[in-house]
Amino acid sequence: MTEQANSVPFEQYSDIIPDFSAFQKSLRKPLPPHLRINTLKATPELVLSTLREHGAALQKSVVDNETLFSVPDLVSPGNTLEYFMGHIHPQALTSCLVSLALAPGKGSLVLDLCAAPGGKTSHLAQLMGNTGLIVANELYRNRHIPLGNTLTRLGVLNAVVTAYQAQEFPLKQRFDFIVADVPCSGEGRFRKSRSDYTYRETREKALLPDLQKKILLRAYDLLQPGGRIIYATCTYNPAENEAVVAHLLRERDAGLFPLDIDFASERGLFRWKDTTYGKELEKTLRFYPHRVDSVGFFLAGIGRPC
Amino acid sequence: MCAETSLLASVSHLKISRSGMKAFQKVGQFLKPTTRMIQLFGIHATKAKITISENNLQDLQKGKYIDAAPGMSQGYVILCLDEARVLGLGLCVNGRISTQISRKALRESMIGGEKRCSPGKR
Repeated sequence: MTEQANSVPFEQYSDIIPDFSAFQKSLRKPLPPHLRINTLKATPELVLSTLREHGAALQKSVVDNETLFSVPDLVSPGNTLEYFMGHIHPQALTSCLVSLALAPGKGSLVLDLCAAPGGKTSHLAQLMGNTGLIVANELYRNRHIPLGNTLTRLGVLNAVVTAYQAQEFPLKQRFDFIVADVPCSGEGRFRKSRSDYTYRETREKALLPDLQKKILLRAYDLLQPGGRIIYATCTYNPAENEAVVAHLLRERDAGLFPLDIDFASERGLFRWKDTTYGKELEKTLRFYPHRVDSVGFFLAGIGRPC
Repeated sequence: MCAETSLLASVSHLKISRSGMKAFQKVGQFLKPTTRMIQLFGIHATKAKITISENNLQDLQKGKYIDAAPGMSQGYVILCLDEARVLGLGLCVNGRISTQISRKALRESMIGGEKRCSPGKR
């Protein structure tokens, strides 16, 4: 049992999380399995008919999207023939929203700064139809194995892998689109039912906002004029979310663009406790597990003026 | 194999640890297509393709052989469940086909759809 499991987890956010008791209830449920249909290797019609033939009940997760589904009765999507063939990828729904929000154009040059295990990179490749080029950066070389496995299984042809510290990624080339899905405290993944996951406040976690600010500044410096960044975390902590984006807005001429996602979300905070982040921060989005039935998430869309 | 090679020049200053997808591996003096390459492009093949059932696949992954169609040439064949679902490579020798798909990548527990769903919810 974790220290949080016996108390009220995330009580410090009770003033910002809507319907806090429903939120608490959602933490007692396991994370529901979601999957993404990989259109680089299969059509949604093919995958849906095969899985339905085998008795899986699929529910569309996002209106007007034919590739994202929840499969409550599929015991382990990663233990299926469809997974082996690369027709599906088990991925948290909110994690899929990153690539959808970035919406990279075909033929563009894209950077994923913290790429392992490759779910978002392969989703970007899918949206780009395997055109253009994605630089999938991952500092830790041991994570290149799962990253490589994901990319090859899903038929990604337009990616190269690098191993730089995200905050020191070489500045020589600018990119059209950048994903900064930064290391975070992972509060959004916490579930009381998961014995393999513990949520604790640690000294390392206190250092995260500083690292996140450095990564986002570097991401911005790597962006083409007119380019776009999605900054993402799976945490509720405003110090890792709005505060990091507000820091970028103070340090650079960056702007926020509204995220066009037809999905249950809350506006970002413009103020929390004694800190004011600015009205602009309301363009960011917060996703809570009791509203989205997935991992808690934060997204900010950042643009560089032409 | 990597798409849009023209863009690769713009990232030539980066230290690349991996690019695109491995399409072939050298086996002795021959080039053998990888499972992932076959899964992606096998759909376009017009010959040396064999359609098998999930039961056949289960047997193959257990190390058993299945009979080839009469007249099938010796060598690598593409194993499919149907037109749209390509599994990987098999090897046809003396009228018998064995699998070339790694048992680590395709575990027995992945085959046989019904058991993958929790009972009572179908």
